[in-house]
Amino acid sequence: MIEVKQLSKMFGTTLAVDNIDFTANSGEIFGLLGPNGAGKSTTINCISGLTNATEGSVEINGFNISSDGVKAKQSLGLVPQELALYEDLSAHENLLFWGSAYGLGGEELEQRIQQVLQNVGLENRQKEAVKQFSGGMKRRLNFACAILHKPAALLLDEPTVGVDPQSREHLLSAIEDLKKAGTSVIYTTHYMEEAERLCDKLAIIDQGKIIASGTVDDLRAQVGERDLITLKGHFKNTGESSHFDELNAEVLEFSDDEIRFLIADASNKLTDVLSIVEKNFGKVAHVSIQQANLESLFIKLTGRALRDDA
Amino acid sequence: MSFTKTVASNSIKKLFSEKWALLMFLVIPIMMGGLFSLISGSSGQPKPVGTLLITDNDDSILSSLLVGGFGQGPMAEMFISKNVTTSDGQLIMDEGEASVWLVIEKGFALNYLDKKPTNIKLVKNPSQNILPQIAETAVNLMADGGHYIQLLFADELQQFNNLISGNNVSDAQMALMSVQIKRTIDNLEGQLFPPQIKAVKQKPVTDSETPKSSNKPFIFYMFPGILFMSLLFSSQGMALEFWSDKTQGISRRLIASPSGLSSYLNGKLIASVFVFVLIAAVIGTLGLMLLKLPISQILIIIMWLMLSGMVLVSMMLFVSLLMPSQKSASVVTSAMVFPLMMLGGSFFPFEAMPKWMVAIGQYLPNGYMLQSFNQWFVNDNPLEILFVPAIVALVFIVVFWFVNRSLLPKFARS
Repeated sequence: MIEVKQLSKMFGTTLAVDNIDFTANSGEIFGLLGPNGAGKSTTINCISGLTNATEGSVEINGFNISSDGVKAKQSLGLVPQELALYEDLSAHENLLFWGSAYGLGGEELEQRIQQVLQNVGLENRQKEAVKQFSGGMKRRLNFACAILHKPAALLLDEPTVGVDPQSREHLLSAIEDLKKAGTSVIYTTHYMEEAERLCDKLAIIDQGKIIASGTVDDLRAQVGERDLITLKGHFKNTGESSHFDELNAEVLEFSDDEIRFLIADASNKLTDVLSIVEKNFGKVAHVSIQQANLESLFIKLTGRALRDDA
Repeated sequence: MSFTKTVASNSIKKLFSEKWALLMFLVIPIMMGGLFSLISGSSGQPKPVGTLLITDNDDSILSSLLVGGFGQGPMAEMFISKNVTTSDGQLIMDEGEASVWLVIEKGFALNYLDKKPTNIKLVKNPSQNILPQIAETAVNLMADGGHYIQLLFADELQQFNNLISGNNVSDAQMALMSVQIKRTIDNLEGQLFPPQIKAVKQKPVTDSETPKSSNKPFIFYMFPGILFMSLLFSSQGMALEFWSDKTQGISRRLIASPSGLSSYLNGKLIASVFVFVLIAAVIGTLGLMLLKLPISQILIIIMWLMLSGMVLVSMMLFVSLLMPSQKSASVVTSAMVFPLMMLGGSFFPFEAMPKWMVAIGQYLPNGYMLQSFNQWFVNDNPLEILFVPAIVALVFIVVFWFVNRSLLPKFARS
């Protein structure tokens, strides 16, 4: 179990993480969802001991990361966002290195190495130098290094960034297996579909604060059974969103070149929508309709798209 | 301990995967040492020595005295004299295998005593500068000396000439001539030898200060410098390994592991020791072959290099951990290596350096360790002379271990 209580982190005068609380229980994947710079990685760094928190506490399997660091770290696996591998050494040698860093050795370590290599689909490439691997293979090995010692808690900081679909699938399946085996997982991402597929509980984080949390269903309910319509063009009268009231739409963003709103039964109401917009605001150049998802919620909560720079 | 071992073995594997870098640690110093030795003389002697060919066609007492001048004092250290016939002398000079050739003509002594003109031929090797010049100056000085002797002792020389031509010299005649020469010298004493009083404070020379190894070849004096040059290069390389690990995200991720950075630091230092031993073994084996060093000396050399290498890698690591980037660390440590080599006795033996440079160099970590080593290796002092420097080195290593360990977390996180 990973328990984070009133965690805050300041860099100079900048508050990077602001009084965050959450718990990831055994066999549970807790997702931290947010755009770049939202504070996800800083939170992970504080949990793993890479950075000392300014305030608050973190417990891993009942051990405080600050006061009982060695025991807490023994129970923890970390998959950092940046690769942490020796490029000149083979996959097997890298696993030997990280396994011994967690106190494994001898036959036990060798067995675990073969097991994790199989989990990530690299068993046939184990003798090759890492520098010959593709980006996706390196990511898979990076992940394998963190699970060698069978940690009770696992931190994954955007593990699928820049990964090919095959490697992504390997990683996501391996994470699901760990969940089934009872591992507590904290998973940060800005890929909505990954969060929806993996996470039992989610916290949406923006500017260091949790702005919404709950199960995926809880969060979806905040958006309702509505679709997200995005219109692009050149618009005027941007202050007069009351025209959308008759459609029962909730406007999330209204600017000179983009209008975003939530609306039930979007495909049937699209003709009405276009007619109102073109009549009152200007010509529409591009229309997109998305099913309501966490991205819609993020836009609803912050007014910004999830993958925009913060 | 297991993780320390893994870190050490990984570092060594990495090092062997970069064979060229490893080779450079060895090749550059050996190459530089070899070049310095060649520049200083291919004969392998501590001072440049030339060959003086002598063809004495006169074979008289006077010509022997002249030739003997080259076999005394500092001239004897600079020239190896060889008597040759005219044809051999010509042949050797044509092949450029001697510095100068002195030819004394037949009748030299008689002409001199008769105050007749006489010739001494000096042939110089045009491919050499200094030694032929020294020989020419020496011959000129002897010629001047001969001229003054002719002026002062004209009568005595005439008598001497008469005597030797008659081949009939009695003891009484010889004694008389000696007395006359003595009187002339006494009369001239005031002009030739004015009284001088000069107080010279001289420290009594003890056995330990007496250089005992002046007959050792130049490469022998370069040998410790070559070893320390290798140590400097390799310790810089090993210190920069920390940066290589950092840029690959290793040290940062290690903070989140239970093994921590102490084991990591120890593992890296063990790998460095392995490199130093390897260097000492390779260069030591060369020493074994070229300088005929005994095996027991090689073992002590290995131990000393381990200790010195640890001192140097601790210092280099300290500097590189303080740097803001890998590039800065590389530039700054490289900028350190060359002055350290120059001042610390690796480029030139301390014996060949100006005093002010020695005064600085002996207090640099590499200079201190090298000079201590030389006290034993070059000056043949007993092994106990290394005891105090070894303690100083151990203290240095321990202090810097704690300093570097305290810098590592910040370095890894940044």
